[in-house]
Amino acid sequence: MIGIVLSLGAGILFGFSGLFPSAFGGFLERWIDVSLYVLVFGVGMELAWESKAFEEIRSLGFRVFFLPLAAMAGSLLGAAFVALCSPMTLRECLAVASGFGWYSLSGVLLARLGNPSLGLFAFATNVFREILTLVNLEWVYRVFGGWAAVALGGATSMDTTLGVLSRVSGGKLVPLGVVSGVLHSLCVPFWVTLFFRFL
Amino acid sequence: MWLLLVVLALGFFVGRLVRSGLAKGVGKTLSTVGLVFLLFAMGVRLGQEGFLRMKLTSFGLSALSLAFAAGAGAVVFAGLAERVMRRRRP
Repeated sequence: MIGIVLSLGAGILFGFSGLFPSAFGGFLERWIDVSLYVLVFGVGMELAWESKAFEEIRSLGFRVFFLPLAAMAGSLLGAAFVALCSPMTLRECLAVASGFGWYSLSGVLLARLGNPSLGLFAFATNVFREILTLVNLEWVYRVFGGWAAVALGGATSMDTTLGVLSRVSGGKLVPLGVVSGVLHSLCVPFWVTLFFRFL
Repeated sequence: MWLLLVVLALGFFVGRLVRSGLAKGVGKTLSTVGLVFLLFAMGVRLGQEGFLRMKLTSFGLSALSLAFAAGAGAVVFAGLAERVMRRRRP
């Protein structure tokens, strides 16, 4: 966990200090993409000889889908709780939380649906969710177990948080993370639109 | 999203082509290097973009509390679901 916080913190300080030329913004985007592909490729290689990684999926069968479904229900319930104690409406909280960590899509989607400020709020909330996941995943895995660790990442459990998930579980949670991340990602446009338009 | 799955599958198949020890060693190195670089680059982007910083700070506490509540809800529900599943399994 220290390495994660240090890497992220060093990056923030470096960016904030102005040492990184802002003209290289495009380069930074490509750097993020390439790092993500290297990370995912490496996780795939690690997984190749990790027999225990597929045992869980095999033994669970179709029940593997309970994990993303439970995680989505929990996220939305948590958002509903926030709506009770804040000036935000239930509709806004549910629409924002149903980004499940996918900040780029949820922000753009809400902006396009007609509420740019809610889109910005969704962006910020889901960036925070990703950072919270990266920082807290290790102890969540130790205290609450594998499913909880996968659930924390939401849609990011198949990309940015997959590497951390693989490290803390020794590769065991990678297939579950991918299944959960894909299902979360497929559901984001549906839930965001549903809550924003019809609630 | 699909490209990531293709890259994951590619890594898996390349890993199967080489010895177990080598695949695990190279895979671990690649994933560690990728993770460190990814986090650093994400940090640079967060620190560098004034607009992004402004968004995060202006929504601050309310965005953080919603992110925390959504994450906590997911953790609790998935933890409970795992317990139920494990109890039912022989």
